[in-house]
Amino acid sequence: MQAANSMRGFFTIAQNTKDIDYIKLAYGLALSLKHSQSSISQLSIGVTPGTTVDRRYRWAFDQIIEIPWGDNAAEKEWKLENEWKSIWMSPYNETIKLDCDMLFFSDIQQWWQNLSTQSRPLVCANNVLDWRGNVIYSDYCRKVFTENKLPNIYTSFMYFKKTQETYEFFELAKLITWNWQLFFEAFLEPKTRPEYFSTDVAFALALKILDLDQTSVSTQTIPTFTHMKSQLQGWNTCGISDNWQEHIPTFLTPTGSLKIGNHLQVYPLHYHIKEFLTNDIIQTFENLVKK
Amino acid sequence: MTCGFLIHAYNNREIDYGSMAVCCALLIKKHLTVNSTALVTVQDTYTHMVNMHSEELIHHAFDHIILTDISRNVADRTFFDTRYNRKAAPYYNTNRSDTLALSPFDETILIDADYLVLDNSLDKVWGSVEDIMVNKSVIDLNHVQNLGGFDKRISLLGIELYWATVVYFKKTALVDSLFGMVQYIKDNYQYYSKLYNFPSSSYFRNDYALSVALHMINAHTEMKHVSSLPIQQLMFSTENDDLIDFVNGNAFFISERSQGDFRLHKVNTNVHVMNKWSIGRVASRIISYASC
Repeated sequence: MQAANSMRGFFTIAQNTKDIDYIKLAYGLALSLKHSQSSISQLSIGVTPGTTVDRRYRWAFDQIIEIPWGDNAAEKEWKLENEWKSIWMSPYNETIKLDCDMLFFSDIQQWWQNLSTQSRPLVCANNVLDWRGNVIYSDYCRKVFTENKLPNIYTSFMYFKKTQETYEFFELAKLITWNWQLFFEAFLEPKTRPEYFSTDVAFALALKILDLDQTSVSTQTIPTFTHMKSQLQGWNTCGISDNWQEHIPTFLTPTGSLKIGNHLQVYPLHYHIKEFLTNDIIQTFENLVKK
Repeated sequence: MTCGFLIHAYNNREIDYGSMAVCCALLIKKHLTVNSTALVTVQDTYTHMVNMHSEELIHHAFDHIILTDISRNVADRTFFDTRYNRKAAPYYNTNRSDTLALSPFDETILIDADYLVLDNSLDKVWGSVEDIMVNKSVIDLNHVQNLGGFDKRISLLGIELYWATVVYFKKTALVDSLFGMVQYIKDNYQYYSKLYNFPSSSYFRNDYALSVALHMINAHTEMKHVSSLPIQQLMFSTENDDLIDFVNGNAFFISERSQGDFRLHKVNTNVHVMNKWSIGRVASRIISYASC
């Protein structure tokens, strides 16, 4: 299963809910990685204990790993409470942790080189892009970061090596996840304090507490990704629905190039709206990968 | 390497583009060091220009006169003369895509006839490393951006809007492709208006065709921006504004955006004058200043 590049790989947690087949989303991600990456394309997934992954999806994953130490998100519809286990679950020495609802269209081999040679063992994306490829400066959804001077990280794309420092980080992330209300109350201003658990906020808080907030966010243009949350697109948010697909058309070519509103997508795409990943898109990538 | 300006001018039943082109060319000669000019026109417009201004003046204004044919099968467009007057007339602007082939220069600035060159900033473009330079940012006389219809994008969710008013280009393979694309977009204008979601008025708009072509040249991304001309913001006066006088290289405008809100502007930098009639009203003063 693991090839020459098994020291490096992608990892995501894919826990199905009653409404969303996250394993199917992870399958789409795996297909897009296989199609777009020249060297490192293996994706391992973390699944709810006892999950049987359908055979039609199974082949695309490098390893399927049951989430250890019980399912901390068992009662939750939006399952974030196992993210802190990523470092223990990932089979790779160097990992890029992603969200399931992402697709890749370009080779990021050079990103691995760049991230690996930096002195920092943990790097989170902190500059994300709109659908036109322009940097998003809006903090419309991120007042808590601005108000509390948290590093503006997006854990949807997160690189880490297995070092003592990163284990310490994930240990603290565990503590915050388990006691998030306590930590949020102690460290965050009430005005913008989230009333729900957020991985981005929890991980940002962990970085700040460990004094890693200056070193673990990228000062470069990479890593980055296109974040399709409607509120981040620079549109007048008044009257704009959450579903960006209601406002701009998309077109996936048979060769796996995606255009959103005439803009070719070259960066990792965090499509956010789960219905975006249609069977047609999966079929297109299957045709490309299996040929 | 030969360098120069190319101006298209085709009179219609209402607007004397020929006289505007004479003003434009003479101001180029007055204010710029590199000041070769080429006129692309049709016989009837040329005849009218000679009758209006004399053959001597026309040959002083233009180093090259290129007679061509144009399609007369175009729809009318409404032209405004301040807030209070409007007239419909044919808009013969559909052969810009031939400019590359028509230009006698190695490096060309394609310039609208209604663009008044009042400073020397365009002297800085020649010998550029860029194949093409064009502005995507405009500002009006009140230094306001993003007026309705003059936004930075061709639609709210659309691509960046570039302005074909002044375009620098070299004769390269890239530019050859660009003009080819503009021609293709022109030939399939309704299709591209739907695809790129820009207003599909009855007349062809060069700015839209150029913007779509540049977007396509840039691999359908915005990652590689086309360089702008030396002054990043293209100044323009709207059709509501009135060019009321021209004295010693200074253009005086009255802008009235809402009734009674008059503002007087003295302009001595390059300016795109969208009220064509107002240029005609002061053309003799511009020619008198620029030809001496």
